[in-house]
Formats: sequence, C-alpha cells, structure tokens
Amino acid sequence: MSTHLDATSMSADELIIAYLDNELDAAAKLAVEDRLNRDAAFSKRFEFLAANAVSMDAAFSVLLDDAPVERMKAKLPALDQVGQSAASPNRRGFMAAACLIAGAIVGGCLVRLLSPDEAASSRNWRAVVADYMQLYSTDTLNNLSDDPAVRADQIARVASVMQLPLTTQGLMIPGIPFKRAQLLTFDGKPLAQIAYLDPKYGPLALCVTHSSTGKSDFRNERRLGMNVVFWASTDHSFMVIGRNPPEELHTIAGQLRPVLDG
Amino acid sequence: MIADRKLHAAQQEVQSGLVDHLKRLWRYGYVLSRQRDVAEDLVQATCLRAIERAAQYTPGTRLDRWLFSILHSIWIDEVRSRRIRLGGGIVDADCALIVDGEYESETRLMANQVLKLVDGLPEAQRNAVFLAYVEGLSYKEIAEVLDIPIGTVMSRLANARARLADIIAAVKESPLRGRRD
Repeated sequence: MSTHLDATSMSADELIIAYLDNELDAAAKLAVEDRLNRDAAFSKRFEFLAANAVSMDAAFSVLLDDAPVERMKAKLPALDQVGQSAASPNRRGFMAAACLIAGAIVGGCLVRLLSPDEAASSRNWRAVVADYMQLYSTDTLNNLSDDPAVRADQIARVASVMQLPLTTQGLMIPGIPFKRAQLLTFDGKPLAQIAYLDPKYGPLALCVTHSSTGKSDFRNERRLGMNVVFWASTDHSFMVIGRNPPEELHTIAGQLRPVLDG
Repeated sequence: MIADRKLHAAQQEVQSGLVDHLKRLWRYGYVLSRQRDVAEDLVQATCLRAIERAAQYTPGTRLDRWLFSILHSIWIDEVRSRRIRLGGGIVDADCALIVDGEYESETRLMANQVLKLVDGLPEAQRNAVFLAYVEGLSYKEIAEVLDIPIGTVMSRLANARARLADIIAAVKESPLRGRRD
C-alpha cells in the first residue's frame, strides 16, 4: 500500500486527489479523514473536488474504435513471424457501458480503468478493508459529529453514489451507535464505509462496494484478529467487520441486509 | 546459451504482444499529439523500437507500460521537436469527434464533451490524466513511463483535477445545460 509520496509536503489539493485516487498509505488516509472532521475549509474543498470529477473511461473507450488497426497491423515489422495473436480482450467493455449509462460527465468519482487485476481485487477488497479497520481505535470514532443533519447528509451521499436506498433509520443497529458514513475508494471504485462504535468491542463497520460477482449468502471469515461476515447482492458486495464474536456479527448483518437489498 | 534463450523469449513476447496493444498505443499517441496520422506514425515507430530493443524488456512484466514509455519518449525526443507544432489547446472539430457511427448520438456527444475537457488541459497534465484515469496506471507507474518524480505526477494530477472541477462546477450551474429531453 505504501507509496513514495510524502504526505507532509503535499498541498491540500494534492492530498485530496491522492486520497481519492487511493494512492495514500493507511496512515496518511486516516490523517486526511481526521482533517476532514476538523478543518472545514479542507472538507469543503474535498467535497468540491470529489463532486466535480470527470469520468473518462467511457469517452476514451469510444476513441479506441477510431484506431486504424488494420493499417497499423499491416505496417508491423516482421509480422509474419508473429503469427495470429488472439484479439485483445476488451477489459473495459463492461465498465464503459456502466459509465455511459451513469452519464459520462457529471457526478461520481473518477472511474479508473478496470485493471486485469480486477478479479483479484474483488476478492481482495475485504483484505484491504481489514487492513484499514485495523488502524481504527475507539478514539478514531469518538469525536465525530452527532448532528442528525450531518449524518443524514453523509448517508444521502453514500446512498446516491452507491445506488442503495439507505436511510438513517435503516442503518441503525440497536445498542451500537452509528458514527459516520463515508466514501472511500478502492481500485478507483467507490467503497462506502458506515462506521459504528460498539461500547464493548470497539469500531465496527459495514462496507459496500459495487460488484458483479452475483448473489451470495452470508459467509464468515477472520482477518487480522477481526471477524467478518460478507455477502453479495446482484450489484453490490457487503461486509460487516469488527471484533464482535461471529454470531453477533451475523445477527447485525441479518438486521442490515433487508435494508441493503432495497 | 541461457542469455540467448532469454533474449529470444523477450523478443517473442514483444513481437506477439504488440498486436494486442495497437489500439491503446494509437489512442495514447492521439492524446499526446492530437493528430490521428501522427498517432499512427508514433505507433509504427514505437513498434519498430520495441522490436529493436526487445532485449531490454523483461518477460512477464507489463508490456503495455513498457510500450507506453517507448511511445512517450519517441514523442518527446523525435516527433515533437522536429515535426509537431502544438496548437493552443483546441483540437480541430473533426479531430475531436468520434467518427464511428455505431454509437448513439448522445454517447458520442458525451464522449466528445469529455475529450474536449481533457483536450483543454496543458499537455503535461493531459498526459498524466490520461495515464491515470483512462489507462489506470498508478502514480508510480506514471512516474516511470514519463520519467519524472512521483511528486510531479501528483501535482500535475491535482492541478488538472482542480481545473476540471472548476469547469464542471461552472457547467452544472449553467442554466443552459442539462436538459436532455
């Protein structure tokens, strides 16, 4: 996860963009999130840059079809030795279609190219979330705003980007206070994190990402000393992660699932 | 003997891999030069140099990244200095348009809006933005392809995003836009 970027020497815009591009290491990400909570001007700038991003993938994949492939092939040196090569797989086809439907120019995050590592990423997103959650302590979540309007606003933003019918009421878990809903990115795709603070077990989170792996039922796993319950709907992958015992996480996931399936 | 075999493997991989990357190389050449015929020349020169220098390619690594960096250095070293005079940031209308008719007009319209935005960026920013947000390279990979420090990549991207965000925000506020019916 680490990069050669030095977060201490970065301007506010650079920090924000590197954060949105998922180029910061976990500690620098947390520092950005902390600053978002403390520094109103920074937070406003973050909102502005995140909300006014351009999705480029669809537009540029249209351009690929303009390439004079046959002519270029004909000019390839020593092509006769190359033999018939398989047609280039259109990795971006699916994403391009999705972007076009979503509208190429407004809203959302910059959508990065789906890399060939995509299949692996969809399996690994839980590992990345676990990595990230490992850094959370009670203090991370303790001083966040309790203002219902702020929370409603956070939830509305997450709901809109993730295309889920989320409501404040629907996301409440009995006995475990809601702390924050925020958008992160993983591999250029939005990743929503709804954080809670369990008085007994500490930070707990529901995380959501877009996926097309197909529906699957609850499964459990253990990562970095935390328990995870994960499942998927047609369009999303979900996970609940925390230090709560597995059966308790299962109950929590069971309460949240009907809301998330919309 | 072993060295020979390694060289052979690298040559094989480069030669057979080139065909798969022609479209994307052309697109990169087009984004840099904004001229379709120059893009085509760049691809041809890139292929030639890639085969000549196949020994420098490490089999099993990302061939596309390696080819991008060759194309970029050709653009910088040769074509740009000798043949290309950059315009002021506006592409000819027919260069910016997506000519293929198989897409619906709204798709083409939106694509061209995005291309126009990116086209308005200074070349250094446009280059980094393309590699990051279209080709999906990490900051580190971009730094390698362009042979610049990672901090420079970051500042180019941040400046480009700030500039694009200003334009998008202004467009959103404009009452003349947004009607689709």
